[in-house]
Amino acid sequence: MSYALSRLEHLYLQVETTYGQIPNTTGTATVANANACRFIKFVGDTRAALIDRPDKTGTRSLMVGVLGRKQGAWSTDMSIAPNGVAGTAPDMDPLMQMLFGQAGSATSGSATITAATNATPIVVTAANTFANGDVVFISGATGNTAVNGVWCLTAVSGTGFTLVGSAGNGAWVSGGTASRVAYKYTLSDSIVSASLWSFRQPSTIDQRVALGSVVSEATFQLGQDVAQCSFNGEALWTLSSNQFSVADVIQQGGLTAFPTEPSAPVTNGGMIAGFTGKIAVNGNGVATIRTATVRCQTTNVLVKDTFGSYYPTSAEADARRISVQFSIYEDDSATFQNLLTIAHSKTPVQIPLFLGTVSGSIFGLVLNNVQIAAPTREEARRYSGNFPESVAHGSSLTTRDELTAWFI
Amino acid sequence: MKKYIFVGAVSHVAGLEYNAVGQSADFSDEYFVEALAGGASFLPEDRFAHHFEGFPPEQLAQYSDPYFFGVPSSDYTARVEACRDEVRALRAELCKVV
Repeated sequence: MSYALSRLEHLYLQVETTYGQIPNTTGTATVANANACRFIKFVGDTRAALIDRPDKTGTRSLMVGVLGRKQGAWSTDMSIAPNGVAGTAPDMDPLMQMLFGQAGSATSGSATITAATNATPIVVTAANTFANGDVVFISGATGNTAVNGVWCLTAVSGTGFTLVGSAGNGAWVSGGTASRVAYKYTLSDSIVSASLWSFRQPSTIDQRVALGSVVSEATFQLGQDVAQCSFNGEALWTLSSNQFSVADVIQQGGLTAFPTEPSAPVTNGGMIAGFTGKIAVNGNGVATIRTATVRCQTTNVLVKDTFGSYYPTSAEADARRISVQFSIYEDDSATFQNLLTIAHSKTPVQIPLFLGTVSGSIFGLVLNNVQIAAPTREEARRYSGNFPESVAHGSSLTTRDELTAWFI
Repeated sequence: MKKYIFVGAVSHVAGLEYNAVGQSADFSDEYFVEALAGGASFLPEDRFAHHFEGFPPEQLAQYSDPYFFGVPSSDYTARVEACRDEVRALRAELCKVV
C-alpha cells in the first residue's frame, strides 16, 4: 500500500470547448506536457446528495434515503507567475480565461521617448499607437529615471502620454523605450469551463480531473512575501482514475479511458516578491501601502435544477463583482487626504496595481471606476487606514472594463 | 534529437531548470513543439547563432547569468528580443496552444 504524499502532485489545466467534455480526440484525453501549471494546493471533490423522505413514519426514526443530485467542487492556490517573457501567456492562462470569460491576447507596440517632464505626474513625449488604460514597461531613460518601470497610461495622444501615479525625479536627459509587449485579459460576459487535472504519485493513487469547472471567485493578494492568487468554483464532476470503470457516461466526460500523466511537463516563470511593485489611486502613487486584496466574484454557478438530470447541465451567472480592499499607513500627505475625500464622495477612480519590477515578470490589475469605501483606523505602532471592499464598475453599458489584467 | 537554445527567463522543462539565455537542450522535434506550446522559449541552435553572430561569448555568459543584476548592453537586449520575437512567431505557427 502506498500513501499519497501531497508534494508529489502536478496540476494540468485545459479549457473545454464543450461544457463538461474533457478535451479529447475520439475518446483519448489530450492533456499534455504543455498544460502543466505550478501550484500550491488543489482540491477537487465530489458531492452526491442524500435525499431523505420527509413523510412521517410513525416513529422518530428516519428511513433509508435515495441518491440525489451530483456535482463536483474545486479550488486552487498558486503563486502569481508570469511567463518571464513578456507577451507570452502565463501557465495559469486557463484559469484567467475562466475568470475573464474569454481568451487573453498578446499586445504589442513600442514608442521611443523624446522627452519627459520632471513633474507630478510625468508627461512623456513619444510618437505612439497606445490607448488610455494601456500598460507599458519603460526602460532606458536617463536623467528622469522615475520614468522607467511599469505604468498605466492616461491622456494618451499620438504624440505622448501621462504615466499614472508617477513623479519625476530629475530632468530627462535621453533615452527610454515604452514597450506594450504583454499578455492582456479583458472581461466578457461568456462563461468558460475547463478540465482541471491533478496527477499524483504513485500512479496507483487516485488521479483526478474536475470537468466542467467554472470559476466562482478569485482573489489576488499583494503585500505578502510571495504574490499569490486563489480560485474556486463548482464542477460538473470530479472523475477519478480508480473509479473510471464504474463511472457513468457523464462522469467520464467523453473519455474512453483515464489517461496517464504526461511524462515531461513544461512550466515557466519565477515567483514575484509580493511586496514589490506599485499602486496608484486616483492618479496618485501610494507608497505606504501595506496589503491589498483584489476579489473577483464572477457569480458563475452551475445549473443544478434541470429536470431529468442528476448532474449540472450548464453554467449561468449574475452580475460580477470586482472589488479591492487595502490597508495603508496613515500620514499627513495629500495622497492620504485625497483617499479620504474620494471615500466620502464616492467619486469613481482608477486603481492600477502592479506586482514585480522586472519586464516579463510583472503582473498588473487595472480596476476602473472604483468607489472607495470609507476606511476604519487600525492602531498599532503606527495608525493605518483599512479601506474595506471597494467595488469597481464598468465605464458604460457596453465596455465591461471594470477590470483588466496584464502580464508584462 | 536536435539542439535547441534557451532564450527565455525561467522554465522547467522535463524536470530540468533553464534560467540562462544560451543554455542548450536536446529535444526531439515533437517535444520542441510541446515545449513551445507550454510557454518555454527555445530556438533551434542555428537560429540562435544567427541572432548572436559576432557577439562576444564572454559577454553572453556574463549577461545571461541569472544572478547578474547589472544593466546588460543594449546590443545584448536587442538580440535577446529578436530571439524572443522569433519564438513568438514559431509558437503561433507550430502550436495549437498559444
